[in-house]
Amino acid sequence: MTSAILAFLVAVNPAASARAFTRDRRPDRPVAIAIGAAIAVAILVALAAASETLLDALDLSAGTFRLGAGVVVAVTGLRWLVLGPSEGVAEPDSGRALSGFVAFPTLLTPGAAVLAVTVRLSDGLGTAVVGASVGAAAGAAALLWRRRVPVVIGAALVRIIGAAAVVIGIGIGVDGVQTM
Amino acid sequence: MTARRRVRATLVAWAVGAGILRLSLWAPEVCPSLTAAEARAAAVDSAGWIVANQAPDGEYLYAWDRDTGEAVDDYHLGRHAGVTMSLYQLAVAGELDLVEPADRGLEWMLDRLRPTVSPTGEPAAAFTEGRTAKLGAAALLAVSLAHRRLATGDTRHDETMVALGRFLAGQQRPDGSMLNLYSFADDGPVPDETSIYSTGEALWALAMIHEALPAAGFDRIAWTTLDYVTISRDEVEGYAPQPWPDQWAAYSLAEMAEWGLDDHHVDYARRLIGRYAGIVRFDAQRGTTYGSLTHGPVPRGSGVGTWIEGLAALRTLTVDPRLADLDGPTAEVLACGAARLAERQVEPGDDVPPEEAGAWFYAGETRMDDQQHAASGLLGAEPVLP
Repeated sequence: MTSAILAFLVAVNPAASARAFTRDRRPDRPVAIAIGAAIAVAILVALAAASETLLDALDLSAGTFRLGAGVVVAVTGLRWLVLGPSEGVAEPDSGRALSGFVAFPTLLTPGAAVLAVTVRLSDGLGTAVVGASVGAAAGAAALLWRRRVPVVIGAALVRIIGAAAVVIGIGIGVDGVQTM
Repeated sequence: MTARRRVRATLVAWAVGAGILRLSLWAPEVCPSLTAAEARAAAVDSAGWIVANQAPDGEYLYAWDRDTGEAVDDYHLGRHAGVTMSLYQLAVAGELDLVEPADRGLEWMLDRLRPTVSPTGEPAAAFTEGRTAKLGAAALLAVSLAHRRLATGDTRHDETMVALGRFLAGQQRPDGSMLNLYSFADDGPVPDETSIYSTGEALWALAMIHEALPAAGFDRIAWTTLDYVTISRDEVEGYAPQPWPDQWAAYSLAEMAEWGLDDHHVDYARRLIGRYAGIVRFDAQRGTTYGSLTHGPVPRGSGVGTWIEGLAALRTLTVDPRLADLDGPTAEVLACGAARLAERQVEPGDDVPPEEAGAWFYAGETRMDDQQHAASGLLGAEPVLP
């Protein structure tokens, strides 16, 4: 359970979530952000629940999928490590658009999506749900409190968590090679 | 950048990434169907190639190049012994017609037995044509004899089996590792040279001799080498990836399972199953046009055969409660690998020359161990096939 939660945390990279928007002076909108996080969790849980159907449709075994999942987590981590966070976008005006952007692409990262499937197959649906929820909640919290963290520290955190994602992704990939 | 543009750009990136994955790591695994009867028929056809091309003195056709229509002469004692062993495996499974050609192959080997000096001073023997003797050739001769005994109940070669066992035991170092060569000039093992194959071959031979002739006491020697293989062999001898996919070690574990395996043996078996499963899954991804491009060429029949042999032997260990969770998944991946192997065989027919019928070709060439390992693997896969 702990390793799955850690994997979701680095795959979402809350420090990168916190840099999703350019800084402005408008008031925080916690409800819209919470709704966005809930949408992201719902999609991740749906992916986890459909994991066996998905693998059947793709003609893939759990081990092969896990190998690819590890590569996805590692490559996204490498991108954060090398390039840092993506450039922030202007915060959407409407609450609905804000929720949508928080869900995707801010919290629903490629790493989180593939983790939802592979964690469900290796550790069960409960672990996948908890991991996805913790990851999304951490990302949403970081987004909500983004103004409290200095830009330089935030950027460094993005790279540190990216490095962790590389390590964890490689571990998942290696495990995938030997997963039945 | 606006949020809308970022969403669009991200969607494009996801689509490109998913496409790249689908063409490479996530290419579909294609598993044809194969029944147990079809697997047996393929194994028998494979043995048919060996027998059809065997010389009257028992020597087999080493290799055949269908592009030039010529035999390739690069004979190998270890492979001769392996091919004979495979014929006897089929005989044990009921294909008793193969005992006669296997016996001819056996006589060819027995003509090349040479006494060696064992550490205990008791009679020992190795299988060689030169000034040195290889561990693996003697080991597979011993395994052939053990299978022959199982198939026929004939005990006439028991003393030879024990003499070979003493030779193998004399090659063992205190840590369980096995030296690959014996020097007749020095009347002893050549120091410091080990082999990636021979240690497992010798281990299996010692286990099979003990099963046939427990009073000879080769179980103690076998345990020491099994510990070495399962704990430190790959690291000490520098093999990668670890665990090294060693089908001889798999056969050994299957043979020794009823003696009572320790947890570290079972842990090694679990990792070895995972290794083979990964390899077979990767091979199954060659089943589509683009998968065949992104996953490279299919290995030769002997290579694929060894994976199936290893998995088949290891699957028998899943009756152990410590490995029971792997029973279904192992059977599934074994069936897939066997089916993919069988579909590449040249089917015998009136217009198919004997040098090709029942064979597996790689880059225009088939070699006797292609048929050996494929036949043994398909035979081992039978229990999991419908």
